[in-house]
Amino acid sequence: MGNLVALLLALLDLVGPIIARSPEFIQLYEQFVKLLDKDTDQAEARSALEALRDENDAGYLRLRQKLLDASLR
Amino acid sequence: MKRLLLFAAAALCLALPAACTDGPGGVATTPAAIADTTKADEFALGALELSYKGARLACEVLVDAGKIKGDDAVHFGQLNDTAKARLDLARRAYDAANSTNLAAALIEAQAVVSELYQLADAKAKDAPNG
Repeated sequence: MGNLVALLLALLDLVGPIIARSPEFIQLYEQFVKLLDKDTDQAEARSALEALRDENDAGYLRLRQKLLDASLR
Repeated sequence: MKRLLLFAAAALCLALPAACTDGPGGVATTPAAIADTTKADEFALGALELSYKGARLACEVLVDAGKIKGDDAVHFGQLNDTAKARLDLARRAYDAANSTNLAAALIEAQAVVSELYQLADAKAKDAPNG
């Protein structure tokens, strides 16, 4: 199950220009919710959430730096 | 993409009441006990985390494409900071197994995340090649 979560999270990154690709993104969303809602036990759900938190922490810092650089242009 | 955020908001609405429902047989009767034995909080916070991820990825795509710069970048940066701060508050409520605070924090965070995304969405539509 951990591999599936990792795959889903990797796919989110591969969606690309997500503004133009919202159906795919929504589908991934729904898959993630199913993952949490159905067969996943709480420990697995927490693990998936932990991975997402780490990813968002790194992504936040990356975007922050990019916006800082862009503000100087 | 707006549907994505609406979906996330709906997910939060569905998940949070579930966290406050007593299970049969009196298994869990307090919010903290329920939070510790169900996936409702993970579901709700996960929806928020995914919402933030969608919004920040949208911003990043636009920055990489050179569509956000100058004063716009400053404004996006402020919203990104606020969204992350609210997300962190929700995480702290989750970590403390405080479902009441989590519910409030999720709603507040979702509002800022939606604002961040909507701003990016508007910028993408304004941009010639967005």
